[in-house]
Amino acid sequence: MTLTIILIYLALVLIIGLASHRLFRGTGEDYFVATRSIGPFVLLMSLFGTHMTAFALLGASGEAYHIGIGVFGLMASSSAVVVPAVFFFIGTRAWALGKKYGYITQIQYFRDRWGSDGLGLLLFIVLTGFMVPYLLIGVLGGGLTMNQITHGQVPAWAGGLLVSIVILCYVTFGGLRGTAWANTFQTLVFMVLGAATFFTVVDSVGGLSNGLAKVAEAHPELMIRGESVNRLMFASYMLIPLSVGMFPHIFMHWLSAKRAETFRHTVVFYPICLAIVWIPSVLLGLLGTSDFPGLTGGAANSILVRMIGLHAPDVLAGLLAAGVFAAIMSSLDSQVLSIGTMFTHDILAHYGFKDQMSERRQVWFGRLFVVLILLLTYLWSLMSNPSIFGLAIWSFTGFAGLIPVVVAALFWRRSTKVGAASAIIAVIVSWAFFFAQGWQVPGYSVGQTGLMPVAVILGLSSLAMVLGSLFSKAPEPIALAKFFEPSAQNVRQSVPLQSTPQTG
Amino acid sequence: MRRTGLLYLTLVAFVLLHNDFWLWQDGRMILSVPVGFLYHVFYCVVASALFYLFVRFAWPKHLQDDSGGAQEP
Repeated sequence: MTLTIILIYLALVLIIGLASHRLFRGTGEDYFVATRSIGPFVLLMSLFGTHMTAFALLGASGEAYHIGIGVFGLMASSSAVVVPAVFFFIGTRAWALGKKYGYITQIQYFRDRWGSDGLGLLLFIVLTGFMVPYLLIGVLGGGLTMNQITHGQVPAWAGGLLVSIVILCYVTFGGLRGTAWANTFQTLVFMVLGAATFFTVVDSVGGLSNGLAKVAEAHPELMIRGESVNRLMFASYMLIPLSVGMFPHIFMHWLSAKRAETFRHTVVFYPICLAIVWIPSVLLGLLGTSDFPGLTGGAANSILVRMIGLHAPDVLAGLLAAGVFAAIMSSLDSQVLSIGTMFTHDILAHYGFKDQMSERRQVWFGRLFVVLILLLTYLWSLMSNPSIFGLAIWSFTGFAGLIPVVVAALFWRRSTKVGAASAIIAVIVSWAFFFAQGWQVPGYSVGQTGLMPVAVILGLSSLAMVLGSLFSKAPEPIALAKFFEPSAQNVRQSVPLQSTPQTG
Repeated sequence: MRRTGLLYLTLVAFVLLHNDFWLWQDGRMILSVPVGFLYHVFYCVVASALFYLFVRFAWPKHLQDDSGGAQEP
């Protein structure tokens, strides 16, 4: 029965995604950014659904199982202030520039802003590199959920494969509109069913007070931050959600907005949506320590699904598992599409194929690249079983380290392509250094001080951006005119002072 | 302008308040959940209210005016 419900749900998502194909206008802009026509509600739901991955449900509950309530402050409430701020200060401005100059990817903007081809290529490689582990989270989560909820009847490889195929179908045919529609539906599903899961499990364990009292008795350390969350780690974790400013899939959803005002609802309601999803995830992870003691490492990723299987009746378990699938797929689809979009526009179209291919042909090549990337990710998922939380944090760290690039592009006239390239190289080198040291160490921090690598990487990339820009030739005013209002100094230099009106 | 500056200062203070070190070892249960957890749930609610003020009083209105027809990148 559980499996039937999941299959019905997957078919429903597929139908919604494919239905949007009927509105497809046959142009690249429509396929990749839905002709910039997305309204406030769909923007909020699709951005939120895209941002919330298996990380938010499976990873958060798994990490809460290990370290307790501190997980909520580490990622949820920190994101509640950082993410809307990024949307407000960066997202709206990126949208305006995208609309004005017809950008479809962030690389197009950076290339144009600093007039550098090489910078675009460097960014394509780095962004795709950081994105692949992020994709892996979704494929792993899909396989894990399917395996656990069917009590091992369906192997993990089949679950991952099924999720990949469904996404592939509606992304390749529906483009961003299909993704936004499917995401809106799926975000509503995982928010409603997440709440239903929570109340069902809490009712089954005799109420929240009762359930948490048992946890507090057996594991009092999980009810406080105490020794399990280092203070410096907690403070520096707040830099990780800055990654949202450089996620290619989030950037693409920004560009799909109809107007700047479309962002208003997203900025205001984002923190509430975060709380709605993360409160049940963290508390269910805590309650899971009573029912399933002794899980170690990545095994705790399955705690949410195990709790559903134990406490929810068969039909409800199927629905709740569908909610987990909804969260996983609503991110995976946008991530896959954004990689395809970057490949089509920043590689194929940019490097001379534009004149040789029709727009429809370019869209098809984008689809082909999507198939290739999903296939590679799927094959990787068969070979590894890392902690979903750990994998996500390394990916987010890389993206967060790149944030000075977009901040400088938008707000610092004096920034140059040398500065931007220096910042990107600083991120690559420092990220690789920390990753080599800490990817197999759970809870790794710089010199075991608690300081997250993201703080050092971000500091180095900011420094590289500033020094690289200041030690290179300042951009010409004519190059800046496209992106900035003339500065007061320039206006004074170029416009002769008006003479004081004579009176009398 | 003064109101916008005040909002920016509030945002900085709010970011600092995320570090609730005074509740680090506090295991009291309030409203059925640990107080350290409840603090961060309320933090999300207050964040929403703060961003309502940003949207209301510090919205970058000039962006809408700039968004004319698309040009080739």
